[in-house]
Amino acid sequence: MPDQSQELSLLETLDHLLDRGVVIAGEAVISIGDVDLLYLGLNIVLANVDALIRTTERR
Amino acid sequence: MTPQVLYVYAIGRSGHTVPERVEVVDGSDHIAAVDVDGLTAFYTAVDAVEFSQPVIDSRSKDVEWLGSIGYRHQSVMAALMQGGTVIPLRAFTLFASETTLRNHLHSERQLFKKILERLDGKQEWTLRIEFDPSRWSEALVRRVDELRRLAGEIDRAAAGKAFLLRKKLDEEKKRASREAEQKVVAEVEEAVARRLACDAVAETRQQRSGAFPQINVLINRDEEARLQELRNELERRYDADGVTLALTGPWPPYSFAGTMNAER
Repeated sequence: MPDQSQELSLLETLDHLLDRGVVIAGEAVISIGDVDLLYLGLNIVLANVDALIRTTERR
Repeated sequence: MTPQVLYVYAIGRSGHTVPERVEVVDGSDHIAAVDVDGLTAFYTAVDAVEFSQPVIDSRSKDVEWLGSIGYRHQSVMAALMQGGTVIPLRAFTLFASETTLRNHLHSERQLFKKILERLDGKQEWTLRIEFDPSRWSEALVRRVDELRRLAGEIDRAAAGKAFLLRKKLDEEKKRASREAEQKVVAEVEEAVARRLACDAVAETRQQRSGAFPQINVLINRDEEARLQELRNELERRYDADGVTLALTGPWPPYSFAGTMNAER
């Protein structure tokens, strides 16, 4: 079981890694399916991470 | 063989060393590089089903899985950054094939080279601005005229009226809090820009879906001590208001790898 500092570090890492969907290529080339750049629907993942961060902040 | 997509970690200049013996996102140590027009992209070919929308959605609450991807992504990035400047890509940046990745590097080559120049010798740090609920609530009364006036009225009012005024004060505090928070963020951002003359990207609580606001700064590698000093100074300034500043870093410069920042 990770202690709180490890947990926070994990959340901070994910917070930086996932962010809010800024994709380097710009929105114009993002598409889902059989075209060029696939940037998966991270909103669900992000919502989850954001919720975890808020939970940690409330402690 | 199952279909694969390319999980791309970063873009560097040609000749950048490919890290070895680093655990990558799929648990292997396979990192490949594709070289186009003086640029190199580093990637791992991953199972297209494992990294498909439905599978990711279904695992989105699995913090252990998400954490393992995060740490592996971060480990690869750390190894890449030891070899020089790279443009770090966020987790789950996937390309359908090597051809599409090559095409992308070719079409955006000028922009990527500009971003690499901008990131040379720099590090990203994050200043998270945290508000202690009860102390910040008290501080709001001191900071906002209307709240101070209401608090004064409560002190002078009879019990019944004081009860109603307290309810009004609570409502007014909620409204004032967002604005006052933004003001603190703007003040911190201004102080950072003035002292360090660096690029900064502020993210409000709204942009962070309710999480504490933060300011990401891109500083020269030798300015870490000055940033720490500024953080201490700002924390002393806001201490009475229940505001603390958490400084974390150095991070790969994710906040400054985007096209908008490069074009500024």
